[in-house]
Amino acid sequence: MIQKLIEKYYSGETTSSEETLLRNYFLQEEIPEPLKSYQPLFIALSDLHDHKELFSIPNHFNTLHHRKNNVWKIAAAITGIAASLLLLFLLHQNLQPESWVMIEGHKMTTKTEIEQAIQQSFENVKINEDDFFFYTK
Amino acid sequence: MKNSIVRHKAIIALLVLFVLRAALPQNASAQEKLAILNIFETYQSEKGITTLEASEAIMKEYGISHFKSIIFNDGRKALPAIRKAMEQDKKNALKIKEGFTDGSLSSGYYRLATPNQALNRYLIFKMGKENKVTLLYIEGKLSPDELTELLK
Repeated sequence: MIQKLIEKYYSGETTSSEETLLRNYFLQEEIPEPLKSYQPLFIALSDLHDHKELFSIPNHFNTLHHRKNNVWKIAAAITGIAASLLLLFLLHQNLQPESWVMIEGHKMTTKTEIEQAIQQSFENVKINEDDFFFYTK
Repeated sequence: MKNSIVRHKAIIALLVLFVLRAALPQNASAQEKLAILNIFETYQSEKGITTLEASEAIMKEYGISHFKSIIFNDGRKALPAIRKAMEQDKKNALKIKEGFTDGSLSSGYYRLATPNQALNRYLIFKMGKENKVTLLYIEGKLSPDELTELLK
């Protein structure tokens, strides 16, 4: 039934209540595998629908032709956002500081050496029981 | 029609900006103003120095998202610069805990102010035996109590 509705939707033949049904259907977590690829689109459409005042379209454009155009525009927008997110994810990965230890200018990135250096660092600043401190703030 | 396209573009631009703001790491901005970070950069390649930079991937179990340390086998030469940098950074510290030996600062534990309340930042200094100096910069969710526990 949902598959048929999706086909109707892409043909611009769905009614408003059928579109609501589609949006609500894809909001649930458990979606059959063959339909999963549609989920991001309908979730995004649901979000857009929740903020439809931002995307209000003048009545005279609300024809079948323009609805089809709008579907493409929204799909293009979602693709753009998805591409931006992917780009940001990759950028974020690159901006994550890498881990390394440098001994006298010689840089090492093996986990064992890094973990040893971490332990050594903590060991060096350990608080001893007989340490006396002044608290100024 | 034109207005509609402009509106769509504006909303997409806003969404992208929002995502950019949310996705970019806060670390860079959080560290920018610390004078002590110059010490790490200045001395990291020198003889008798061990520098460490550890990311969240390694420090996650401690609740630390960014960890830096520098160990001077003999810190006497760098000590004036270290003290000067610490004096500058501790002006904005939320908590200061200092230990002195013969009138000189021998250890310092500073909880630094942070623009992000979910993030804690700490600066730790300790002068050990034979003038060994260790400096730590810690950034993460780690609470002051958790840090104290870690250093026991």
